[in-house]
Amino acid sequence: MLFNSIHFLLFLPVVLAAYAMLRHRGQNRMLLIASYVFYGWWDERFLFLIALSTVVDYWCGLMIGRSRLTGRQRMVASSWLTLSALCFVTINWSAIRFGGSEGISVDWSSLFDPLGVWALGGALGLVAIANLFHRLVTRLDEDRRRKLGLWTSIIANLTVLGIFKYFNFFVGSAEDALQGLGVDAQLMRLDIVLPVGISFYTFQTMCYSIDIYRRKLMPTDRFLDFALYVAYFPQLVAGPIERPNELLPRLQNPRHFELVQIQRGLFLILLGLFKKVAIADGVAVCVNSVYNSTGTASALDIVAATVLFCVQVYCDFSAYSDIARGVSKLLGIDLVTNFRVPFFSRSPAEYWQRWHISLSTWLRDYLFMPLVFLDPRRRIYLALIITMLLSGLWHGAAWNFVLWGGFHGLLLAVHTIYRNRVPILNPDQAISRWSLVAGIALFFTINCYSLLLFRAGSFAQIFDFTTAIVTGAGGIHLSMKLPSLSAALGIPLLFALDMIEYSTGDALAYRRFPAWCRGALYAFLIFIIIMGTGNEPTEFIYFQF
Amino acid sequence: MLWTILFLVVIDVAVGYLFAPPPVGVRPGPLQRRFAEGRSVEGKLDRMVGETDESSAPMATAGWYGSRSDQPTHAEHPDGLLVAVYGMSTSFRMCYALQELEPSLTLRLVGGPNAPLSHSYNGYLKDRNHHEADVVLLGVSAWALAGIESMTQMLIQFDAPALYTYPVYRIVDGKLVATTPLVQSLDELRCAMGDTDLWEAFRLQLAENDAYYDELVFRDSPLDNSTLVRLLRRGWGQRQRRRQLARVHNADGYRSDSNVGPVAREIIRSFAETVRADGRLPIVILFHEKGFDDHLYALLGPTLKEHGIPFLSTHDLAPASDHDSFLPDGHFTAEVDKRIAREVLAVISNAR
Repeated sequence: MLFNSIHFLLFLPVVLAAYAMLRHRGQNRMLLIASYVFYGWWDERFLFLIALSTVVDYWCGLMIGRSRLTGRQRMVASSWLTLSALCFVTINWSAIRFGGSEGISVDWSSLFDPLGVWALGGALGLVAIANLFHRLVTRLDEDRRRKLGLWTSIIANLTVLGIFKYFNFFVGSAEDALQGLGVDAQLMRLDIVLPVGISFYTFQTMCYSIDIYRRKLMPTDRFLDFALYVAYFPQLVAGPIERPNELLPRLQNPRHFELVQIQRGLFLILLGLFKKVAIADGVAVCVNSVYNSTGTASALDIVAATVLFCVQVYCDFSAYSDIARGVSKLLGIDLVTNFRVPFFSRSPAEYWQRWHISLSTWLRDYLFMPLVFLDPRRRIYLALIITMLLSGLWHGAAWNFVLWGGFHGLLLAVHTIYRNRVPILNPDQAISRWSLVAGIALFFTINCYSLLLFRAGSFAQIFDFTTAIVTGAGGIHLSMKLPSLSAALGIPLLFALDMIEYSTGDALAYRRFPAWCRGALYAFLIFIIIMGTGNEPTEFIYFQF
Repeated sequence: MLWTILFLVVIDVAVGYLFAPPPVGVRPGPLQRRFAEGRSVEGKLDRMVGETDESSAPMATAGWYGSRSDQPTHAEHPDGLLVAVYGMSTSFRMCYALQELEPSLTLRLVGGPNAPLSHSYNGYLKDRNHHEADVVLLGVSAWALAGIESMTQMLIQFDAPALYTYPVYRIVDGKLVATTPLVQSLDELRCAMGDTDLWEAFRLQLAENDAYYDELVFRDSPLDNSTLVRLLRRGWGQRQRRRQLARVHNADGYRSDSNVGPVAREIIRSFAETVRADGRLPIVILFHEKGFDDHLYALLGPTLKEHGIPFLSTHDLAPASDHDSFLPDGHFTAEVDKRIAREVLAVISNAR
């Protein structure tokens, strides 16, 4: 279900109304059902993967932290996985028809999906093995048991991610490499689609087990609360990636509502819709007219489309985070801030403290730090580059994403070397206003180029576009489609809002405006959103990750 | 909250006042056009249709059958050919290039802005006895093909509409059956607008037969005066149109579960049969606009080959993904038009 769809417009009030009527435990159960409905709206089959990830990490977390599961806990987790396999992948619901003269009619020949039957068998096998070996594992010494739990969680999550996101990519790359060596290989490919948001929830569940292993967190006994932590609908498909020590307690404790929180939530939803509907969708057509075309684009076309892509990807992704945070605030649950005016950064290190903060801190804590601790003196630069290469791969199963990650890794390594020698690169050092502006402009330009690598459809396009920019091919001829009116009006307004946040260092600075001024701001945002409803809606860019 | 509502009202009134549409006959500015695009179809008709053709908006007069009486009926050059062309602006632009390359050709042009295949086909049926063309050229636009499911451009292009109407075709027992619109000329439209019963009958006919009909987009109401409502209606209309187009075409091509393919194939077959029966040479040009790859060719190519109909598909000459081939308004560049025209000349000379 898309945040900017009519379905969600109907779904949210129903959820909020039910939420207001229930007590804490009932709220959590209702939210879990709502989250599964929200996700299943795309394709209910992929709910099985969420259930699998939930059960594996719940089980592993308890094995690591408490050394065993009670009989009831094992029964609940086992039933959850089995029922998920049965309901989401085995039964073909379209074979059951409701209504008509017969009441309910069932097409028995297509009721069970053959692949789903295998999945059900696999789930039953997994449940049997886990229960059979449970006693054996509890008898292992603590260190071995903890490691077994940790690696089971990591391997299970990365296997699911690897199969659904990277299998075809690596097979395709291997075929290309073999063809380069003169071998015409036709390797097996999987006929699967990428489940929405798989990278987000696998990272979120993995860090639960890792944190328990690191003794930073105690495992939760309540399966349904953990299931809600994994599937919590506002942030399920495109983040922010929440840490268990922050989100779980908020889910497990009763929530208190304050008017100011609801106001903030509504503002975040409004701001998110403004960024997505009015701006991101309003410039998408311009970017696509250059990047999705095979013709010769002029240097000006490429530069303009790339700058607009920066705007698009920022507005698109931060919009999702804003709406997710806003919706969650209406439910009384705070989510982490994912963006802090990233295009006002003057160095790559600062940029990654402002852009997709929940991912960059995840990578820092669970990938970069362990790599550095292996050999702090020599490995920091290598660790930076490896972390960012993997960050690129996390974004998408394509080499241009890896190149984008590598580019940022190099930038970070160079920045680390020079940060103490060049004042403009050191955020702790005071510099003049002009130097600050120059630094921001310079890094924005470099970052724009990195986003060209991110957006390009192939290495050939990267080469062609880079050559065109360097040589100025095509001159100042502009054939790109122009942004919509909503985007043309929205971009300066967003720049002004971000400028205020940057200069005050306070995302809530708008609250200090006089009441009439805030009223005018909200009205103008609503007006531009309404204007943007004519833009062709595009799926959130980060859904594909 | 009160301040927000107050400012919304202020914005609504101020934009409505500052960008009010100019009088008929004066070209509106881009912002005036944008803020009027969401006006209901009935509201637009009130503004576009004057008491005479001269006092009506130029788009109101475009595309009606028989609206151009100055068309040649036979070849003007002794050794030349009369080429009757049925299509839309893309076909006409290409034909002008054709005439530049071969000045002995005389052109008879029948069509309308974004005309779908059904309009062009019906155009030939109505026009076939009024000229002595040697060659009959049918232009089919990939972009406009979905309009087969509509009866008028008022609905497909509701934001900047042409008003002309045309039959909607269905296949019944293997044969093409046309439902003819109750309104078939600008004069008839004018009459209908002044006759409540006739107008209601026309509206009901559209609601029943036109896949693009949407009550919210069509019906006039006092809310037409609100800028915000117009913007919302524009957004809603665009959404409905995209949904309708998505039922017909997706990134892989025209959908096999849509009626558009079978109807288009039957029209092409019937067109060629009729033209040949009239002793003329039929030629079909498949125009692939941006975003359509070779989809039209994939849909109609087999039928054209099966019936031996001379044809040309632009995807070979100007790939739909190559933006160098297109002007910002979506038409082919003059160079591409010339390239296509050269090939059309070759098709004519081979077929004769």
